[in-house]
Amino acid sequence: MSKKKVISIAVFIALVIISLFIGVSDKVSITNLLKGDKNAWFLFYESRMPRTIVIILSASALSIAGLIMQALSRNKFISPQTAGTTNAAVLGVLIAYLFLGTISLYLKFVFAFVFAMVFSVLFILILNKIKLKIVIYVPLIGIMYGSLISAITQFIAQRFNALQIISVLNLGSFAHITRLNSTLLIILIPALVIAVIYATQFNVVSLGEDFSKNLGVNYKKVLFIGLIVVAAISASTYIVVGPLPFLGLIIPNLVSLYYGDNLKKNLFDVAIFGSSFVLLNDIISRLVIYPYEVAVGFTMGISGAVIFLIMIFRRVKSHE
Amino acid sequence: MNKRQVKLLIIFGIIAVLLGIAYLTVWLYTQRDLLIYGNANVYFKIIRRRAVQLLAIVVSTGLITSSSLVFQTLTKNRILTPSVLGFDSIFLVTQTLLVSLLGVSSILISNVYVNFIISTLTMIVITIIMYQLVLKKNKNNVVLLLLMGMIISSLAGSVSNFIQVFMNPDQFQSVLSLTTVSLTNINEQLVYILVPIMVVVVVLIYRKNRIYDVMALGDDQAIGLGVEYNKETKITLVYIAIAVAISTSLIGPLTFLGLIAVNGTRELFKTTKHKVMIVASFLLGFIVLMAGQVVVELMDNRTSVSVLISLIGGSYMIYLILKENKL
Repeated sequence: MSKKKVISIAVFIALVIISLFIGVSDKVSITNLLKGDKNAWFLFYESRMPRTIVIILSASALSIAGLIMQALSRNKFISPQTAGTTNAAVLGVLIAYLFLGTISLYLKFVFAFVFAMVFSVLFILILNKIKLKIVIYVPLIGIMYGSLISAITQFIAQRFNALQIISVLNLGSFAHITRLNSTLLIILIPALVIAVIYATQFNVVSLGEDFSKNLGVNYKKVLFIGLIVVAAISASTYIVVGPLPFLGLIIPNLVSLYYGDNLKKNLFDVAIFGSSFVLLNDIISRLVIYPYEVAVGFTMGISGAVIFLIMIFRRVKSHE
Repeated sequence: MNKRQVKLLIIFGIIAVLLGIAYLTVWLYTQRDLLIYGNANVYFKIIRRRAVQLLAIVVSTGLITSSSLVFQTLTKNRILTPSVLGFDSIFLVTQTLLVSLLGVSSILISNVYVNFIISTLTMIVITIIMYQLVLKKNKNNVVLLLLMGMIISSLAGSVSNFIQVFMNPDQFQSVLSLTTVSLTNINEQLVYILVPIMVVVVVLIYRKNRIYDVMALGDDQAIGLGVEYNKETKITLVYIAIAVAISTSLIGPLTFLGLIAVNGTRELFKTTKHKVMIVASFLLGFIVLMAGQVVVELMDNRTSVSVLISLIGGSYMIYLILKENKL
């Protein structure tokens, strides 16, 4: 294992430990846990641990979803958030709410998943039809596509007075996570397993349709599987956590900056990087106005934007 | 201008006038009860109010379409509008901050005039800072500016969302009514003051139409033909900043209006002359916005024009991108 990898794993573990032991209650400390304090263990088991696990799971899943999306659309500036996938998930939730009233988390997920899936397939189909001169315009089309979907959502919401339902979903946060309301994220585990199994094939697909046929990969099938994985990941994390801005965009780019473009090799690093990034942001959000906390989506919106800006400027400099 | 273009312009003009009249009179149908219970005084008030709103629509359409047109010339791209640079979100964040910091009843919010000046100034200042930062250092790299705009708009979006979550429903409603495009809550005094500003900006852009024709050829060609490309780019971006800031704070964000108008004009008129395009896209933009507003009123105001235009504009743009098959 290289030195870089050891360092990144060490940082990750340190962040996990910090994340576990930050909180309003000072009962949850290592000494109390070792003593077998019942209250401490209860809190640890019901709130702290689920929260940290959810962060790790959703962060690595979303980063990997970004990586897959970038491979499938052959563009480094795409993530589920700039391709209309999350907008479609919101539309799904709204439709579910309107037709079924108050509904269970799982039904919400099914609707969000189906919508995310359908609209990402459409987006990839559109992208494959266009010959692009400048790659930066792809996220632009994605944003336009996303705002079209949002317009549909708003149109429906305005007619049925459901605007605030959409607005509640607009900011990612881990504050409300407990053992009970995060069980939906179990869906992420099979999604991640599929991602690992098909990693090499995603990589081949990223070389283009003709090329992948030459190499004996069923282009359409792999594309479809990739999109199922991306839609499942974005829909489920969106419902449980809310949007985590920039995650799927910057983490894959940062990793490939250091390790190159081998998707299978990068999966693990992307997961570690992504989780560390979100853990760090979550720790910051929990500490800035302690004992209260700000939503992690806000912290990430700022830190992610700054990192992304630096990345762009670096790229510009290297071009000169 | 060839005969076909003149003919089209005349047709557009007639449709625009008809829609204007439709807007002034649509209440006769939607609020039929008034005809039974109202009196001449009421009718006069309604028509006067609607005439002012019509003026506001003319002002902002002129600003939106001409700024979108020259912005596309600068960026040499057909799917861009200045609002990609994040004006909408900056506007949203200014309003959200004002409401949350000062409360619903503060003069900065209730006095539309003060509110307008603050939000317009904020947007112009932020844009000019952005231009200075990006364009000076990076040789007028507009694509970079674009990316920065996208990031800043998402940054501003997350800030305003963050604040909105903490608001009580009163404040939330107040922000909603300040930021949703609705031609019904326009301040009359504001419109009178904006007319001269709009005329000045549009005339300034119009007078440069030949320069823009040359700039559309590309920077090297333009410089070769004697246009001070960098200087013109900067001046034009300031015009655009003013235009978008004013129109956004007057009638709210209308991202897709400029796109529909300019691209529709390109398709129908098949010209690259800015002289024709400025006029034609203005007329087309007016027709789209006006028709949208009339339809919304006929639908009992159960939706808003901005949503309707996003629906039409988004579908149209994706259709256009697919049809052209390249970007």
